[in-house]
Amino acid sequence: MVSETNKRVSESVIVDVLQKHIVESGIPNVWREFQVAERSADLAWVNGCTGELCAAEAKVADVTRAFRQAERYLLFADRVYVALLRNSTNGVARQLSQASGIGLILVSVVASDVAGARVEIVVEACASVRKLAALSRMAHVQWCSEYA
Amino acid sequence: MPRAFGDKTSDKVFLLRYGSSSEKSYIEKTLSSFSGLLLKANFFESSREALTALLMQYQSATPHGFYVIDPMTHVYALDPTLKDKYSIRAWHVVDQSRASEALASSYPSRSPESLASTMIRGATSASARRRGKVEVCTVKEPFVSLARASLPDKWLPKVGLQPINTHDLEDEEAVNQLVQRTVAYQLQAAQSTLMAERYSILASGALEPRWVLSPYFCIGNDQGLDDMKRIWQSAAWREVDGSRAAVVLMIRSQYMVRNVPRIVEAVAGSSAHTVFFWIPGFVEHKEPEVSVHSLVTLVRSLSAAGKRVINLYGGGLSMSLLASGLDGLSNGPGYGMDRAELPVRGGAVQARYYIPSLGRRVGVLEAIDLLEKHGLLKSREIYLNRVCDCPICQGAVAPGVDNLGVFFGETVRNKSGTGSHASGEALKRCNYHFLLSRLEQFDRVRTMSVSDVLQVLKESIDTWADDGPHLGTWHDALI
Repeated sequence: MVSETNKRVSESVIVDVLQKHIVESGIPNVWREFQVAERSADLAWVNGCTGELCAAEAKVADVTRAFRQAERYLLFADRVYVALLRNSTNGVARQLSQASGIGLILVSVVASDVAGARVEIVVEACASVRKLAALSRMAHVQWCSEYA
Repeated sequence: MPRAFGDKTSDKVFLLRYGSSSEKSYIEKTLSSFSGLLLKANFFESSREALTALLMQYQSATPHGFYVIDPMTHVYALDPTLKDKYSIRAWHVVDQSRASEALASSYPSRSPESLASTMIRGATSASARRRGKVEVCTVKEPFVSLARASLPDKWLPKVGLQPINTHDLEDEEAVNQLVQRTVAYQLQAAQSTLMAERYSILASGALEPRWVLSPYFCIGNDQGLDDMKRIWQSAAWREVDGSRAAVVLMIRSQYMVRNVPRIVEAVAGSSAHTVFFWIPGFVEHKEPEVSVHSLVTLVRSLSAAGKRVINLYGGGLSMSLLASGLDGLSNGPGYGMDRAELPVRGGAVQARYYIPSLGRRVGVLEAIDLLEKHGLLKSREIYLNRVCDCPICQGAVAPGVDNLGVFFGETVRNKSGTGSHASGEALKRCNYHFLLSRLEQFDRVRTMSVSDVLQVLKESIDTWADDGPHLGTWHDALI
């Protein structure tokens, strides 16, 4: 697979790549380290068409931990994604994604070349069924305090 | 009819630990519900008058309430050259003209000139430098006065300059002096502010602590245990009334696991009826099976040897151990279900929510995630019946159970505007919920039999499944 090219890529590069991808897809406002109840999602954005709040967790390794953290964002966000490097462990990630309803985004990147990176949404996120109204309101208020 | 908190019909004790003035409001509001108060000696040194006033008020309002002073002798064995937050030393800004004086006062055994090159440095802030200030590394004032009050004369020159090694206990005279001074300190700490004649009527022994704790240092090997035995078997320690004397067993987990019989034998030989123990860094829900089993064996064996056994820092396992030989535990409002050997200070405080049946404090979002995943947020009634019905939680879920995350997880923007942190209110709510739900657990568990406790643990295992693997470890250790 592409694992050789992914060597030495840090988590922040994955976040950079994904942020750039989201902005280029027509969503100008992307919040890095979006905090709710003292926990930060690596990225958050609002889908311009649906008004849904989306959150993403990026990880270089430890796929299980990435999904465990992302599951918590389902309590306040409408859709949640995990972003990983494309490599040989993606099979596990697909299974976890399909079981949890959390979307899976795979990133191919050579070293830190953000401009040349490729992003693919492999599994689309389902609408959260765990969302709690009060936490979700809190997240939206936080979003609006910055971007309303 | 449910019993009120603070019912003293049981011998089990639940101590509220008061470690710093920032905890004052928690202490004032909840102290009367606990069996007693545990105070750190260095805190006593920095706030003697305020603490004495608190003790007088406490004892008049709660006749059965008592207090204990932790003599904190172990801190003098820590390396003083560690960073400020881990050390009894700290860097202070002073006028350049007063730097030598500050060094002389902190380290009377050494000439300021001999220390100047390592203990005086330029001020880190530019404005302090402009005002002719420098930074001086001195021993923090409460630790200076505590050392003078409780350590042997021959150890004082080392305070703040090198760790006081337990090998320094070889000298019998030093051992006796250490014990006599540590004991006298605890007996007189509160009384000493009432020595003025006009207060003498108040000072007639009413403010003496319930237990007098032995001086203690961390035991990590056989030599360390032998050194502590010298303290417990000293002539000075044997003079303390056994019903009032409590040995403090501060012991590293790795050593405990391999040496339970030896430790029990050493403690059993002491005249003290009570043992306070502290296993530094022992996080009850994270410990491997072997450590949990060793702790349970240690507590049961000490209890079987006729000692009252009290954990200075107890978590969820300790609560369950109340049915298996443990006679008490202590918690504080902030951190407090475990404690590392090096003090932890500084940094932003994170709001953490205590899940009683899981026996853990976790981040608020993680807590909500766990509660939701296991069906405990389906309704107010389910939450109040199965998670917690303390007054704080009743308020939290009054508008609806999904309000919980906002109530405990409220955040405010950092001053820099780059992130957010727990609001003061959220921290208070988490800490009060912790204290109140721990009190409720203590009140429920202290009269339970081992089989009752095992049944409760079994129900918790069913509730938390893979998210509470430690519960199975605790259950198996308690069988």
